[in-house]
Amino acid sequence: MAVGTRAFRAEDIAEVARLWLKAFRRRSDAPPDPLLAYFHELFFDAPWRDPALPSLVCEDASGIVAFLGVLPRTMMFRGERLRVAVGTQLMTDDSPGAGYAAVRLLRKFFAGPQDLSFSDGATEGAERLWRAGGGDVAPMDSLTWVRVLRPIQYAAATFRPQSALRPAIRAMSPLYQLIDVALVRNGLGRRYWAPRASRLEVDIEPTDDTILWCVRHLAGDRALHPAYEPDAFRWLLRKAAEKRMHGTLLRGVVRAADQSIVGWYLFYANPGAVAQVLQFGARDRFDEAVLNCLLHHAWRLGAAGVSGKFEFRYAKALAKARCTFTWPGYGTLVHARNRAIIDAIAHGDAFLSRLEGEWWSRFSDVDLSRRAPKVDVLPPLVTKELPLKRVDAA
Amino acid sequence: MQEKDELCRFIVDNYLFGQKMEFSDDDSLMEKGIIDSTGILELVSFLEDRYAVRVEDEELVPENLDSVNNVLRFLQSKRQASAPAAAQPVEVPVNPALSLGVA
Repeated sequence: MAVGTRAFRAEDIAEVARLWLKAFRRRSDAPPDPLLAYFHELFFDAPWRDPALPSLVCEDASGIVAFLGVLPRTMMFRGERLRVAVGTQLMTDDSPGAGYAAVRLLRKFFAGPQDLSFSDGATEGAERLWRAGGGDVAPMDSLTWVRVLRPIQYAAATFRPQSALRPAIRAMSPLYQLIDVALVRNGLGRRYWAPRASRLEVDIEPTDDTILWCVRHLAGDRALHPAYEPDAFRWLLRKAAEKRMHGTLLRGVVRAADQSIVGWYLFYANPGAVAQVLQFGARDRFDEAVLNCLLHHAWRLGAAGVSGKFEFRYAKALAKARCTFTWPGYGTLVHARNRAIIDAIAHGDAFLSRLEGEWWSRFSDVDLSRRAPKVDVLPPLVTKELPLKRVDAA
Repeated sequence: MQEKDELCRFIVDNYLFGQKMEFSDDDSLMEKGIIDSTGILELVSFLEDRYAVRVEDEELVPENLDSVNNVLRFLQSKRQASAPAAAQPVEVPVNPALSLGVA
């Protein structure tokens, strides 16, 4: 049975990583070095580390039996600075007292000094526990949107057959591409599936500072929005770019004819797979146009579809772009002593992209030892056919 | 007795959804599959709201919560711990002059 709850220490990493492998990968071998290094990097080397918001472990006589990772963040709520704690990697061993350990961890977490507790990768089990502890589900933030671009490749990319069939499914990939080409070649198919070319200019290699400018100025009108220090934001983008399960992280900053910035996006792209949007934002009245730029960008890279986290502000633009909405199998959970914060989130008056939570972390990568390749230039297909250019100035 | 009835009703209504299931007062609720970690939190909330007790983190252990009898013993111990000390007779010093009725 559980004996005590305390702060996670660097000397606990090996034991916690072993528990992580058992809980999330069903493996009993020794944790590999890249996993150990990632735990250290995320929970002890991050520029946002806050001694008052440590990750937590629960231990008994046998050792550590449960863990809850905490990623400290800063946000602004109606002009006031908020301390935010993002919960991640909640896990227990399978001992008889494991249930009690999870409860102790969650109660300790909720009782912390943070103004808002938040998690954007919670399973249904974790969601039930969170709600039983007094937390809330953010139903709109738990949805994802999907825009299919190449229907047959999309079906193949999202179909989850038994493992024996997977090699055969993959081997037929050239056939799916041919069928998709035929589908979109004719006028009706092209009008339905292919996003129309954009008249706005897209900078495909904006600097980190330009992206940060976009977050501050185009997302800063929400009641709740992130407050990044430049170094921390650059570190976060660097870490997010190392995630490889969805492809390469690309970026775009959209400008109007007068060169003013009207939107931006960050997304992972992998030809033939579903592109995943990490962050998206647009100035008022430009949301449809910026969304179209994103879809067209992904289209030109050969994406089978595009998917992102639902945001109430862009609901109409997403619906008009023929996106469908779905629950991805995990929810966004929130907890705050100030109900006004919860209400702002529930009413869509909050900017909580996948970059603000835990979604960008590499824990969901199948193999943490392989890093995403660095992409310096886009494939020639993109640079020839899109009004894209490299512009560094914000 | 009333507490036991309330507790059993809470368990049946919230975890067995009114279905009849045989469990004794000493059966482990976790091992019987009646309750899980979410259920523990809900049980704690019920005890805190209904009986005005505060379940501290170190008290979140099976010995206190994992069977009907464990919960009843736990509630009893919480009450004993928070009861005020019983009043002791206070010895009042007697003035010898007064006690003899000396004016």
